[in-house]
Amino acid sequence: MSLSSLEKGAVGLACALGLLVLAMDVPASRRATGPAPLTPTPAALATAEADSRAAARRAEAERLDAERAASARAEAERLAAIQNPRESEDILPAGHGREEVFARCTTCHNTAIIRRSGFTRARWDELMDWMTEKQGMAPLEGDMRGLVVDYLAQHFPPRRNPRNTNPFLN
Amino acid sequence: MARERSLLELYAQDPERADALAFGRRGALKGTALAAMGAALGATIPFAARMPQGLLPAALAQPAGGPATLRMDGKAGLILLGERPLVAETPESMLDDDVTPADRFFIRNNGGIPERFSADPKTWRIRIDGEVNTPLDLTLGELESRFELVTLRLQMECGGNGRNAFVPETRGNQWGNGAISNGEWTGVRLRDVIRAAGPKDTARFTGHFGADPHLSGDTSRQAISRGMPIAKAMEDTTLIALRLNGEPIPLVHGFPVRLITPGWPGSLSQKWLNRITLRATPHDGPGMGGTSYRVPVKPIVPGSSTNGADFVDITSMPVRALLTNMAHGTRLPAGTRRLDLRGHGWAGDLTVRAVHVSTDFGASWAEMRVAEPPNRHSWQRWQGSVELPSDGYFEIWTRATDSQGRMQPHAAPNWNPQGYAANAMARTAILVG
Ligand code: HEC
Repeated sequence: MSLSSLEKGAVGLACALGLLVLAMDVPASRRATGPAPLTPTPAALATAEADSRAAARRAEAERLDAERAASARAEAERLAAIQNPRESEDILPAGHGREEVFARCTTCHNTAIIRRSGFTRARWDELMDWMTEKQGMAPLEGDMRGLVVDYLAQHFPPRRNPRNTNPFLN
Repeated sequence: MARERSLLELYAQDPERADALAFGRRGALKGTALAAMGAALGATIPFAARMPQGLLPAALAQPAGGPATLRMDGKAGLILLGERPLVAETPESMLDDDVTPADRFFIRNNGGIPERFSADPKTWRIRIDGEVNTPLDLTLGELESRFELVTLRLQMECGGNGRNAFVPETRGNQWGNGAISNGEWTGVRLRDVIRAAGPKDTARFTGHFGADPHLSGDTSRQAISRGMPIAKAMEDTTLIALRLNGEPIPLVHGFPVRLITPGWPGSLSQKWLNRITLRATPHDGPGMGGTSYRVPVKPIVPGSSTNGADFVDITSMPVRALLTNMAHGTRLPAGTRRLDLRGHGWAGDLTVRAVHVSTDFGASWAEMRVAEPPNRHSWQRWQGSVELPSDGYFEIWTRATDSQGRMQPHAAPNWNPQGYAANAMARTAILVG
């Protein structure tokens, strides 16, 4: 649609120029024949020119808007790719309950937040309530809660300094 | 060889027991344990006799298998702590500049990153409402033309910076010491804008809102929405910031506008800012209350459970210094005896009075020179040099003292369930020869 308004601008500009040519360059021989051509007033000419300039400006602004919106979308897609790393279940340690944990715990965040954590069973259990009360997770109850919390407590117990590499060993 | 390996493995599996095995009663490594640890590190530990009990050599403190690196347009290779929400830490050695370049700013998101506001940034709107006589609804264009623009170097630090020093580990991103920045921010003073709205006597607290979506995608929830006492909002260094280092703020850091509340937890520097409400009572958005950004007044047993009801909100962040011209893990040529060191120190609302460095596990300290901050709430440059007695494994311990005489402790103090305000002194492991 920005193209068509650009075209409109161009047509407008061509018309205005045409009128200008007509006004300035009327061969004497034609004067005798037919009715006198309509000569646009200087004011009309100025208006036509202003209109066409405005149209060109609008077209340019629309083009820039579209360009910015497209680059914002492209940026959002690149960021989405960073924020949604491809993860499959086996990013979590094998064990009873892994499938359920992966399914229930990766709708909002990815597994990094789980893998970085190391808590006692009681703390994991508390965290399930926090996730429900503060973050809107569907409540985990009964056997399912037991399964999920047991898995987390077994595979992500408290550790110390779970980050960085030893700079002198490998 | 078997012995070295087993010690390392023990450290990875059961640090407490390994510590007890490796360290003698008086807290010194002895005999074969010392030999084993030296061998494990690939070096002798010249000051082993002075190593306090319960402190692992910095180089042993982390299991092998390095952290992931952020790969993102416009950002340096930061330490990637998590993808969704996106969280990344600046390695200390990337924080050497007086003014932190935008690509080196740490990233902490609580929700998603909103799509860039692609219209003219001057048309983005901010509302100021609540306990005011004249609620304002201002475009950024109006904000810039109505209020004085100021440019200041301001620290911005995550409330959880240094968290991975807590024992036992707490909830939250396991930051080292790199969740700190000192950008040159241009913006208007929040104070001027609040005054223009005519605050009522009841306007005693703020509440901040931004455009980032909650991770669940539920549009009725906010990713984070915190607030502060009005006195902090009225400080002349608390800004509604429009530019970072003279450029538009990068999208991931809050484009087109964010709060900068220097010296207090970074969560008060709301990104993608679109509303500030003034309140008679403390704000109650996500990130307020309970154990969120709150610490015990009466210290609790590390690892214990609490609802935080009698905790208090963190205000000014505690004193901290970083060594920025020598990376953790630097290997220096044999025979190196003199180290020229430098870095930055800061202390929330206070200033840094002194920085000391030890290369012998705290047995002796060398005082560094500390420069005045260029403006209030900027970090301060420190520099100086130390001498080493031999080749071998050393740790450079860096300790700042604030203007009220409080020093950084050896261990993260005042354990709290979500791991805030851990300002244990920085330890940088180096190997000479
Ligand atoms: C409805 C969305 C949602 C679901 C489902 C969800 N979480 Fe969360 N979780 C969150 C949000 C939001 C946070 C806070 C993220 C932040 O601030 O970085 C969070 C944080 C966490 C944290 C870090 C807590 C801390 O303070 O360190 C852990 C661990 C965690 N979630 C585990 C889980 C597990 C395990 C499950 C599945 C049983 C789960 N989550 C399901 C939304 C969710």
